[in-house]
Amino acid sequence: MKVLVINNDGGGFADYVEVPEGTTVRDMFQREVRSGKPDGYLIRVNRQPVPSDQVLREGDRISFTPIKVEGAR
Amino acid sequence: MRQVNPLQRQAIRAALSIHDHLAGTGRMNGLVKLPSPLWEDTQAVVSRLEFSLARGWRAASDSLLADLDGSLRRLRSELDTCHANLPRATVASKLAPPGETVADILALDDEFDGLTIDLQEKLIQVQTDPIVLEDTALGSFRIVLRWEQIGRHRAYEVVADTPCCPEHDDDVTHPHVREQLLCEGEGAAAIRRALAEGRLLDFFTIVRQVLETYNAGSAYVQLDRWNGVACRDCGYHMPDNDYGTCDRCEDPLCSECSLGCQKCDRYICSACSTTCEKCDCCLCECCVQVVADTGRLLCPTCFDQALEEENHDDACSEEVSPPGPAACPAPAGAAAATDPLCLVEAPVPA
Repeated sequence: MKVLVINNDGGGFADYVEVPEGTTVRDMFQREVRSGKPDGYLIRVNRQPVPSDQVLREGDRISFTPIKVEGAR
Repeated sequence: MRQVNPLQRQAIRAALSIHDHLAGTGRMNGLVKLPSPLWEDTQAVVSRLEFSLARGWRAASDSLLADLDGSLRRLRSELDTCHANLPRATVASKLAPPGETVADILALDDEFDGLTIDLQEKLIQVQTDPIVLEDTALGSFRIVLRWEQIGRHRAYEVVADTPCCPEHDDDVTHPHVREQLLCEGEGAAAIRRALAEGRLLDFFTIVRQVLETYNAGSAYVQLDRWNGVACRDCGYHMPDNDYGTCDRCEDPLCSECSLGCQKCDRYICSACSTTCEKCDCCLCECCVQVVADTGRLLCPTCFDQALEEENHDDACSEEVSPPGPAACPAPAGAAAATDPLCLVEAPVPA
């Protein structure tokens, strides 16, 4: 199945990816955000906060946004 | 028939307008932003380093070399980001369809307070919760996006609702906001991409996260200087851009607490100063001289005087036998006569 993955860490990429049935939010985080822990991110599925064991469904939109994003001057 | 509420109606109209703009020619502008200001900063550091080396200023050169190292690292990082963000094609393949933008706008209403859509002005704004960074309350901010400016300069502004500016700089309302312009830092690439692809929820969320994060290493005004700079001795707050420092330890120092070393004329703080135990004059720790055996701290004048007195005592004891007050007059200070000095110049312990 295909889901839209948005990783707002660094470059902020958004892309559809193919994932196996039964993939959870935690699986997706480990696959997409290799460095970092889930509690350092706002994780949303279809724009809503979700538990980490939620199973993704076809066409879901999952986004990872770091809680700490350092500005500059 | 499905009922459409006023917010949904506005969201649909705004999303269509945003989509039209992003699908147009202005979309690509701003996606590739070379780090020109950083390049110019780096060149300035190189010039200063060359100047410093030519003068033979070793300490300053080492410091500038460290600055250059940091600048080059940042430059490399920004260029890597530019390269990574280079679009593969000019076709808007990842532009969110209007329906997704509508969903984003409706989600903004849940995620933020104060969602406002102005179709005439082509702007959409939200309000953050009050922001507190390291115990400094900065108040809430409005993030105002003008969607026709996406891809051009300054598509959005960050406006403080009740500005809590640092002393002596009214343009700064947040460590990373000057003149309502957020310096995005780590968020720059993700913000540009979210805007270019019409992902409004991501855009507003990342901007909010930047506002809720403090980067002390790169702030317009550091939070510990938000209310001015405190004198290290008395705590008096001085303007951030106009204050003195101790010439030895470089801590902030007000004019009232600034002490002058009698020997080297440097301005010093109380921690870096000491007093001659003989004449009570003020000295910095580098200029004081220590009597090796007794540990007495003397100014150079008193030290030399004491040395002369000791030499004189030694000479008298060798020439006159038996020694007596007539042959060897007592020194002017009675204390000196009763407390003979064993004078050896020694460095002050660090």
